Amino acid sequence: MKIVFSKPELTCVSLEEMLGLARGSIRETNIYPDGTIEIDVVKALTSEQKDKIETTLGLREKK
Amino acid sequence: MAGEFTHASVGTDLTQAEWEALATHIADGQVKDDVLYFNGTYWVRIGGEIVPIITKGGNVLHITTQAGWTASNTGTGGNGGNISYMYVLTGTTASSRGLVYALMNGFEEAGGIWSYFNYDKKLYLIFNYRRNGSDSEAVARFQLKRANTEGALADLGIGIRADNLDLIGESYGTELGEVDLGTTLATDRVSQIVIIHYPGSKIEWYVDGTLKGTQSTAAKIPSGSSASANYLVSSIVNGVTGGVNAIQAILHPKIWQER
Repeated sequence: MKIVFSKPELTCVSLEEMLGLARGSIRETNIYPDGTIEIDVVKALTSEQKDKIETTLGLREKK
Repeated sequence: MAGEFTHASVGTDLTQAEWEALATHIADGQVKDDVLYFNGTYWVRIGGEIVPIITKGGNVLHITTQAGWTASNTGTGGNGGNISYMYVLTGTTASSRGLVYALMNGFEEAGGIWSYFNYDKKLYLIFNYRRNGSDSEAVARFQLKRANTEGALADLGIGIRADNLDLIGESYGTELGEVDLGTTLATDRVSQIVIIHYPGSKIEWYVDGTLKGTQSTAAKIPSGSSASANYLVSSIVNGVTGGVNAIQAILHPKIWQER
């Protein structure tokens, strides 16, 4: 039996849907060659929303 | 000068047959597999291979399509690629943007800053181009320029624009130049595009080997040092309607800059 996984699509709209945000809440995503992902949001994310991004995408916020 | 052609000895008077004979011009120092190269004054020999002419005579780069690009997307915009091509797409959400950019370093020599770009050197930008997903509001661009953002050239640069499937050549010296290339692409097909920049003279756009447009207005031809970072930018945006996933793909991109 083979089980197939894929990375979730990372677009502004898919992130908005994942986080339950209104369309337009994420202005832009920037993905740099070193793998750093920058999300430009209209309104600051809550800690719960950040946790969800980290958990779902396997990321850690740079501080 | 040794290394050029010389004339065969035909005696005191040339006959018509001697004048027309293939053997009238003979090699002078060349050996098998040499390549002749015009150095500005003479035709001289380059030992053996064409590769040194291309590589030592210029900065040549077969641009990677799978890594090293920064993606900057909005809406359902996205990007991706493999070792032979790279794409940007809008997705189906209205007002989306797919964009990737990469720094172009090492194109200013002779004491110039390593990260700048010298537009006073002859330049070839060669790539295969594909559009897919016809959307009358979609605008796609592939540009070499002094900016890393989406939009018409507003600073030094050259490139192409596709208004949906119609190709336009863009360039900027001190003002924007647009040349209609008279080409409507078929979706999901590949066309080779060659942009040749002749410094201070003209820019030519070829599509599948045919010259489709020339820009010869000085103000619309980039010149001098970029004096700041220069980028390759591939982008596509859709409009307020959306509903179509418009895609721009760049395949096998290459650049050659005269040294």
